[in-house]
Amino acid sequence: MAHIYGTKNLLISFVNVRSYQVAAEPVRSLRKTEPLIGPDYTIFKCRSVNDFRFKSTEKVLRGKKAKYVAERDPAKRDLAALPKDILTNIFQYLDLRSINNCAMLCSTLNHVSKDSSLYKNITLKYNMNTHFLESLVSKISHPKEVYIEYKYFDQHMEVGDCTEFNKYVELILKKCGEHIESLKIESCRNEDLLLNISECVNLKRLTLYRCKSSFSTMPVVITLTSINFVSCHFPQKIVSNNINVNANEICEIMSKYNPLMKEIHFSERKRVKSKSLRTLARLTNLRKLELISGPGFDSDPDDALEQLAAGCPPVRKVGYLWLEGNQ
Amino acid sequence: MPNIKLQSSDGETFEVDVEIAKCSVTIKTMLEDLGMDDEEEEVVPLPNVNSAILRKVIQWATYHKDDPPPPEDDENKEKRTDDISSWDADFLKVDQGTLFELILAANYLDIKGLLDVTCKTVANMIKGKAPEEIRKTFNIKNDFTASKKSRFVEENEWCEEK
Repeated sequence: MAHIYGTKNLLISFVNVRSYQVAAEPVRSLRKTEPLIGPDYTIFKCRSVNDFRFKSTEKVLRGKKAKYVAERDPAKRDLAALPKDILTNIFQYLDLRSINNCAMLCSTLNHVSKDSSLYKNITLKYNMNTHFLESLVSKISHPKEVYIEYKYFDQHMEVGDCTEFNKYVELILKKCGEHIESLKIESCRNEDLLLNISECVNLKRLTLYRCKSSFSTMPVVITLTSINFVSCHFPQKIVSNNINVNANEICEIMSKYNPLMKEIHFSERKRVKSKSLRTLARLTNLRKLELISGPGFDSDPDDALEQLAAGCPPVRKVGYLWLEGNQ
Repeated sequence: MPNIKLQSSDGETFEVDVEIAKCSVTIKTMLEDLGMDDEEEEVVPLPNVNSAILRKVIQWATYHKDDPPPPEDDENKEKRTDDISSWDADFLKVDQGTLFELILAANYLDIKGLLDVTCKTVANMIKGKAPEEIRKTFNIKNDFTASKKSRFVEENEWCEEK
């Protein structure tokens, strides 16, 4: 008697076996010459085995599904008839738009499209409709890279009403902030909303384009290794732990609270003063520093740079991209 | 190099180099579990793969026998579909039924490289198509009720402008 555990399908067979039992099914008898091949199992030779536990139940189950599909008429080949794990495998190569196109077609594809593993890398845009956002946000559970885009903003523009959209942005940051490793935000002018960045306790890369933000969250997000600011607006403001924050002092905050920082890119109207630059010497992991606007007028940039370089062990590469402004 | 016999669902037997057969993790695991018996002619029945597909699979495995083992799936890596080699692209110029059967065979035999490249090919067939074009291409039956359908369309319809 052979016991076959865990699976109904395949793989090993037994010689000199008179009867066998698959999982909870009734015992089946065999004539000596009868091959151990049935609709659900193909069995290979294996001698004098009474107990055989299959190693990979999952693989075997997939085989069963495969069989089910292979029996269908090949001319009527239906994507939705493929096993779900294969569909998920195919969907992982698709962009969000294509996934959604498939989700509209039938219940199987709709079900597969909800697999949260497909939503590691997500984009939320201000002009997505509410139903779409609602459904998208419900599918996200462990995002790694998140891109949040508001309507393009520059100084001469009115900030539109984003109350609805803000709700979803806040939800995502609160619900799954801890999973996010990379966060890019474009044109968000709501400081309170950006405070939710502090939920992203494992955040490694932060990029802000044309955002308005206080930097009180930076001391919380100590895991940051890369930061990019492009044309942001930093209101001067006393934050909770009495740090006076403005554009030039972000460097000081970083040097104090973000010791893992490897890459810094600033492309701001305001220039980074040499005093702030000097403090960056404390970031011993710093590899790349790009200050697009160049140093402030009141400083001797060479001196500051020297000090910065002196603070860094020689093995590390420090690169500067130094485009002088109007001077 | 020893050979192994693989038998397709329709009873055809293929003699294959063991090393090539082992690119199927399913077969490899099986051989390791059983131990190879040199004295005896082993025939491995593959009831989920017909001879036409098995021939294709062996052709693929033979061409790729010296490939380095495929890298483990990296979640952070971008999933590209434009990196299919020209040999594979030619190899996969087959009718859709055959393509699907190759996917199922690759899945059943656990041949990661073949599964990846076939899934990418299907993904490329989906990309850039409107929903109804996808339905037509893949013969997908609509099983939604009218009210359910309008809800799914609402949830999934891409909206660029509010």
